[in-house]
Amino acid sequence: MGESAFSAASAATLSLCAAFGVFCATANTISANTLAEPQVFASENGLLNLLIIAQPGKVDGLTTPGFAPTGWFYTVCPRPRTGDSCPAGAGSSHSYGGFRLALQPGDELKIRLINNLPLLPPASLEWIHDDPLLALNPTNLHTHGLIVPAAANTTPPPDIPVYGDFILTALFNYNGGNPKDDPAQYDPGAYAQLHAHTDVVYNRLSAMDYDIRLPKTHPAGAFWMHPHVHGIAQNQIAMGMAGIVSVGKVASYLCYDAGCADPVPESSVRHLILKDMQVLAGDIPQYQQDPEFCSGSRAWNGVCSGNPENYSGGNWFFTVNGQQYPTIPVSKAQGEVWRFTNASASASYRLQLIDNATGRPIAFQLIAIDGVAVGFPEGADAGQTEGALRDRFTVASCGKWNGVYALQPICASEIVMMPSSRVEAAVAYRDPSGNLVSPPQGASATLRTAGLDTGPGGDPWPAVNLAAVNFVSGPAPASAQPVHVGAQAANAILSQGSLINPLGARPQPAAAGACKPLPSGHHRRVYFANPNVPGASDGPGTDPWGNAIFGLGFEEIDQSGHSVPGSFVDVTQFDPAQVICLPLGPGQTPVLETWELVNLATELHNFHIHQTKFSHVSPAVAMSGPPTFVTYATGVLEDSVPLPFAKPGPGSQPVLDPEATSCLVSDYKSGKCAATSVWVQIPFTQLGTFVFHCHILEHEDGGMMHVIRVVPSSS
Amino acid sequence: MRLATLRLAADRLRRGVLAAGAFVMVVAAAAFLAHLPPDRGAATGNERAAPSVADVQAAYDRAALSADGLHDGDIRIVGVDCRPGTGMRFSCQVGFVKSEFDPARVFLDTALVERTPKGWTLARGLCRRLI
Ligand SMILES: [Cu+2]
Repeated sequence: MGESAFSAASAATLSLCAAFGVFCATANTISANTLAEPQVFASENGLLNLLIIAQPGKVDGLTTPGFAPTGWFYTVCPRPRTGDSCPAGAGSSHSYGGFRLALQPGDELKIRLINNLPLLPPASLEWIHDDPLLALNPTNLHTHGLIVPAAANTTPPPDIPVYGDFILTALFNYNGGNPKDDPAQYDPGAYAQLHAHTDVVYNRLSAMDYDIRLPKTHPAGAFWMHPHVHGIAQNQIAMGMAGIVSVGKVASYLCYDAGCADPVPESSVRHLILKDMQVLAGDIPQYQQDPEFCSGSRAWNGVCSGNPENYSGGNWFFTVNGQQYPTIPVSKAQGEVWRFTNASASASYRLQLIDNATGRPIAFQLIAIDGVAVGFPEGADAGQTEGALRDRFTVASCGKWNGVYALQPICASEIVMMPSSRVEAAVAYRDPSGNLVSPPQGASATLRTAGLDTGPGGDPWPAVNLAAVNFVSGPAPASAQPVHVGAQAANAILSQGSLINPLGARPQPAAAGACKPLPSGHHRRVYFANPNVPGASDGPGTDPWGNAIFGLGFEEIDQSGHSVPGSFVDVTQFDPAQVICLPLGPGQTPVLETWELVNLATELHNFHIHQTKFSHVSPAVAMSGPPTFVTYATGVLEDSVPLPFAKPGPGSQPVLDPEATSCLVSDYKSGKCAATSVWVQIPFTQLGTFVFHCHILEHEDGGMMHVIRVVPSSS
Repeated sequence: MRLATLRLAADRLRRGVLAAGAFVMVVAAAAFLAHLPPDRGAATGNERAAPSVADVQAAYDRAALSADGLHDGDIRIVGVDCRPGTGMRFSCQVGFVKSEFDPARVFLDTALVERTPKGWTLARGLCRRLI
């Protein structure tokens, strides 16, 4: 959506504020709706031990009259000595907006998770046909982005199971409200998706435990946590279930000066958790997002109104830390560090900070992506920087700067955030050329998403104002310079000798034929598309109930670029029984693989893999030989990346059938469909069984996910 | 992108029938089973004693032999936690290990087991497919 739409939305704001009685922040107003930090739970002496209860609660940060729906979110408190409830009061968090776990590298995170969620209306679940147990609202936790073991349970009943960051398990509410709601009354074996490949946890406490240990070399930055039960993740996150995790101290990678005599203090860091919720007329939450909820309707501050055809009287709220259109006072002369997390289930954001006086964007200085500080050596070639940043940022000038920077400052006028991504940015008043200057009296800006269309077969995520920003006026700070991202804190952490080493890996006899390393020089190609299945009721890529379905296909490619015979698997929906298995290297060392990600759909997908960080490489480097940790370390390290959509040509499935939203692999191979591969190098350092998937959760729940297992090597 | 289910759900919500129909599927899926009493611990006498690990293993082994490959062949049960249901039925959290995996990994499933004149039988769970 262009500037005209924004202007229209802005112009409409005042009248709408008046008409609806909505509180509207204006420039220089420090209001009662000032953005609050999420409640913090910090580790002490290397341990954070929490009770986290998933349960219903009021979404009370909306300012639109008549809307305070019941969502689902977490009550969090330090684990009590006895009992499994959190005391009322300041020590507990019970907020739709979320919370923050403040961890340090080397910490142990222990969580007792309790499922107190209500039953779900089955008709609201897209994937109820695949798995009727979803109506019982099972849940679990995933610590997104943390490089930790994906340890399965080792504790037998009647004791409560204990997991690492393991998502192939589902915790049921024992007191589901109806004696028929006992999962044992179902036949899990009747449903292929549950055929003894994911745990079913059902005990009197409705509880399971997590014990997650961070390596001492874990990168410092922004991470988050959310439920990850296949088929219902989108619903639970859409209802509010997410919190954030920070690791380490910002001073370990960010300073105001080159020598780091003046590190950035923790008090300069702000956390912004972006969530959205669609609420129907009558204050009834919709359990997931329809991207066209507001099509043709108005958007204003933190909300757009439901389109009259399908959602009359409804509203789609976009909140920051659970607050609808809060005010953010930037009161430090040197600016602030903002850590954004897209904690929406499926929505994408295109963030801009618009100067209210000029209507032009104020540049953000990029500090970290997906929890790892980012920077390029001065003089890094444009291909290297733009290749990695192209689909996530609109690079802009950082203005004039002096002095020596170990890593060249990078600024952006726009930040694209697909679901699950985190971006850390320095925010200060800048002139249109990007120079840090003294803010004029009354300087203010609007943080907004400019809207993102994810492609011809994709979703039109709307443009909405998210927050009002006020800059303190005064003389420019003496050090009106970009902040310094520390060279040692960035990519180097995960590169070469300092790469995180596998924990607890001991030689293990190789299971017969199961886990083989990828041959040297080979790479894995992964196809992202909508599979075609028998009984599709609404054209290609749909299931018998008319839902769009999603899947992945695979192929091993040799050093000459040829497909390894027998390695091709066409695009299919998620099946937990299908596993890519690989052993660690000899001596239990990390393994680096090259993957080629090929999106055959006519919409963006968003690749995410658990327990590691990958790095972009160019196709030429990727095909020049086996991957090395040297090339790995020169890239931006990410755990999610947008995959550009395909361009179908004559004779391809989408051209032959306008209903189709993806090409076939055969279209791609025969040259009828052009796709831009994204090449990544992925280090495998953590043991366990985990997944990679599209993090648009409608797509993940719809089948765009696969299991991967990393086992110890035999020597 | 198509959202057939979602739009259908929204339609129903607008018409105000969702509340009545919300749990039809849950109930239907359980309807072929006896209704469990809400009581979680009403055992009286020895015949109502909960099954042991060995009992559930025996029930599983019997079913595995007769189920035409509908069970994984190598489940060794290492822990159970059962509550009484209707009649001689018990609903159990079952922990088991599988030979091709690290023996420390304990898989979890729920199972419905029933005491019969022939011994403990497996009615649901542990991969027994009824359809
Ligand atoms: Cu996707």
